[in-house]
Amino acid sequence: MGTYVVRRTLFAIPTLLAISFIIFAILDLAPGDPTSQLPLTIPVEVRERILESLGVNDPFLIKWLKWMQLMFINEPLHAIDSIFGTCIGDCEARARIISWSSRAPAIDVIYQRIPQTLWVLGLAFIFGTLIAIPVGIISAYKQYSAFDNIGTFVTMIGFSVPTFFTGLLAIVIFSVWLGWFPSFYDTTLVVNSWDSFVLQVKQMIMPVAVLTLFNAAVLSRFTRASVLDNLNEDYVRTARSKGLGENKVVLTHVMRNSLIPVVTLLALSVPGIFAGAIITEQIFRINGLGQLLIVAIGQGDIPMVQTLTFIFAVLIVVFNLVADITYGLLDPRIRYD
Amino acid sequence: MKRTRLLALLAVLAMVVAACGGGDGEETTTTADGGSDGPTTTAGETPEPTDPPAGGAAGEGGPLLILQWQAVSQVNVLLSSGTKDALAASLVLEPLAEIGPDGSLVPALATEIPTVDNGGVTEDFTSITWNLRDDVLWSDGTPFTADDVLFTYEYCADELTGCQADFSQIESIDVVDDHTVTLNFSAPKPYPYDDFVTYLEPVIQRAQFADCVGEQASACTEQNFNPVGTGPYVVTELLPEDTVTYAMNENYRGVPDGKPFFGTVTIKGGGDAEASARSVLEIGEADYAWNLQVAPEILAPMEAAGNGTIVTSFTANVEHINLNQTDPDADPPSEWTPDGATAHPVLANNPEFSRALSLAIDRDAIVTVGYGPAGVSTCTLWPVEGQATTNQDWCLTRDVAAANQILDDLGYLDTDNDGVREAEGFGPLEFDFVTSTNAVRQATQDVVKANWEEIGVVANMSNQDAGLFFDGTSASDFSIWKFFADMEMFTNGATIPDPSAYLLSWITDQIPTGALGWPATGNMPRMSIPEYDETWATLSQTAPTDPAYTDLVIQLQDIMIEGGAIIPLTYRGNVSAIRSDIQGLGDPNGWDSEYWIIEEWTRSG
Repeated sequence: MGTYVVRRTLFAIPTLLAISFIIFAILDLAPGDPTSQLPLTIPVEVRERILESLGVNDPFLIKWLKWMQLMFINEPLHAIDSIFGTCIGDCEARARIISWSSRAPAIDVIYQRIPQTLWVLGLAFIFGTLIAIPVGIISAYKQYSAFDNIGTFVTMIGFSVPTFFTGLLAIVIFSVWLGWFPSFYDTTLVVNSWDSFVLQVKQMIMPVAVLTLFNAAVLSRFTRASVLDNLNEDYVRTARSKGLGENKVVLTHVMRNSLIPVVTLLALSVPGIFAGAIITEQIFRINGLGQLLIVAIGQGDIPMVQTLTFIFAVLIVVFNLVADITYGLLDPRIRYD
Repeated sequence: MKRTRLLALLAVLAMVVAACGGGDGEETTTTADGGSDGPTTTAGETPEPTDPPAGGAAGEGGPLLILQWQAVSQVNVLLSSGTKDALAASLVLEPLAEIGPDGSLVPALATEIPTVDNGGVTEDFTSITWNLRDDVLWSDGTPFTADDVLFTYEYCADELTGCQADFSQIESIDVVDDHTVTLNFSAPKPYPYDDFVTYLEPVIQRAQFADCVGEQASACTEQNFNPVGTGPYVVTELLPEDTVTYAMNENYRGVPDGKPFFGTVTIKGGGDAEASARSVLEIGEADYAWNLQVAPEILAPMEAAGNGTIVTSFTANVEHINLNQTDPDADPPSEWTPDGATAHPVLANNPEFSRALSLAIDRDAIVTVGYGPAGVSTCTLWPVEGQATTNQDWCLTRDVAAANQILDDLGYLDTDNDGVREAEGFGPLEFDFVTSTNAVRQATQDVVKANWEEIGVVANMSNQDAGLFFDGTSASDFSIWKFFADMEMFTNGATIPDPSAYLLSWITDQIPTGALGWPATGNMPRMSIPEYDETWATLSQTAPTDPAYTDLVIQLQDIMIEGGAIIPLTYRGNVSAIRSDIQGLGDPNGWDSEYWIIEEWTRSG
């Protein structure tokens, strides 16, 4: 297993390099102008001056190599400096990846977004999982019962109805008609008292609920299918005939085996938390990482798009590896060399 | 085992697709616990408003919440990429003069508006002298002086800074004394008020930005996020593409009079225009919503809820159709040459055809469907009151019979009875009609297409993403400057009420060509009318106070419309929503920042 991990990690490096090159190439070839949102009256010389100052007109390889140096050397050094309070090399004048629309270091802007993304989407992920697994297990155990049929119906709705519909519906019912919850998410809210905590909960309920419904729907179907598979296995019959109670059979033996693929699935969907549910973020104005990506694309802010997509790529590669390792750990039948 | 693996694979695919949002988002833009630890870009950690000064009740009004669905990226308007940032900056930074809702100049950091009569502007229009207020302090307590004006010029004059303000017509600046500054122009400027005027060109502080000129400009994040200004507020926190929060500026000159009323302001971004309108009008959870490009049938019921009102401000934004005077199917496409070799076979120099097209359009339907109270049908590109031409108002009355008659007289007959007229040598009158992706624009295209079908002209509609359509570099083939289509539709607008600077866009010199690398100059339809060029040259040397001035402006508009390359459609206003209990806004201002008198805003009750 150790060799496997090392080999996969080493493999990840050229993979990520290739990914960064492809992302860079696509974005560089794509049209899109960071000055397209300026008033049309801005004279052409001024536009050209702005583009020149942003480095838009440099040749492709120069831009890529520059970005690589900033991303793989300068940014990690900056991170180490700020975490440990050190000053490595020329820490004052160190160049960083600068976003074209906000002229701020891209990594700092991304870092600012992480709290709201993690809170809302992370919670939705956790709640979705906590709801989906029991529902899936019970649905499979009591296949075709009333619980199963209702569960199927609800989950069908959950993943067929798009989040922008459920989100808007929630806003109309709870914000407009009832006035219980705010319709947008205030990122500057500091939780330091009971009142602000209540406010934080209030502004999180709707987006978390909408996303939980969606996550739970998908996951519960999958769990149900996995449990159904295992309920027909021989070892279950053996366990029953040995006299084990149903609880023990299901909760100890069946659940553990069914959860193996489910856990790997969960590991693979963690990068999805960071990419954010872009539509839901827009609906509730959560302004997380997904919204940042969309806005940056629309504004032609290439450095931000590159940095974000590369970070997502790294997360996917890493969690792919985590999923494989988890699978190998949980299922003793799987052996990597 | 295999089945599980397959299931896992399929589920992974499903999850990956689902994680991307599982739906198509219509709106573009373009777009938890507050305190940030670790590497941040915020400057000035003062989230709590300080106590009001002993003298007055400034800052007692509590918080004000403004929604700008296009989120603010940064607050240094000189480096900004859009109006949203300029608006955010207007609470902090001030120019020498502002433009009021009626287009007249209002002194801000200056004591009065210089004119030839009061000696502020030289008779030959080559220099202007501004007298500055002596009671203005920067938010850090130091006095504002003329040297800061000079510095702002130097900051923008450096090419590497990437400043979006155009001071190229200034040759030099003389700092006469601490409160007097003279701008010297390289050529006479009869309208000398486009430098350091409006929220797009404010003054920044030398002491703060001294190390940020040129290449360093982008690296000065702290300065860009929290510029020292003379305005009523200072930035307390900026989360880019998200939220800006402000607190009252203790050193603001209005504080002794109890201004500003609101102690803190928050500008929240994200979502779309409809959500912002809903927040103010239906839910009442915000005080002001900006730039509501929402269909009237959605906006009107929201206003009926009674929590707020819609206000519209008009400047000079006219949605219009450009008829390409060059041939997009030639090789190279849409390339203008002085000898007219690449002229469009039907649209070029064909004012009668253009008149027929214009007569057939139902402008009132366009306003009803797309704009509501935010739009007025118009027949000129400069509909500013007092300077608009009325000679082209024939276009306001739809007349399909007259249009058909004109086309018959031109010889464009429908020989094969398929409902489409043909022109000799060109074939059926079918044209590519392009605009940006936007619900209102597509609705307008539908109306125009249907109207033109009644006169036997076919418009093949298409739309492009705004980022490509308005791409001022030469990268996108869909840009309005390259104009590789027969017709395009969008809005031009002026940032100052100076018709001469605006109408400059359509002289022959301003035609964008591939030979010059597709510069983003203004004459997209490639019209070349010697009489227009000559009249414009005369206008540019005429003072606005000259009695002949208005006649020249009207004459220019007439030449432009009668030339046939442009069909004006709708005079568009900017729509915002205000909560009912916010007072003191005055008339809606489209020429300058909508928050230009935010220090006067109060909340009743």
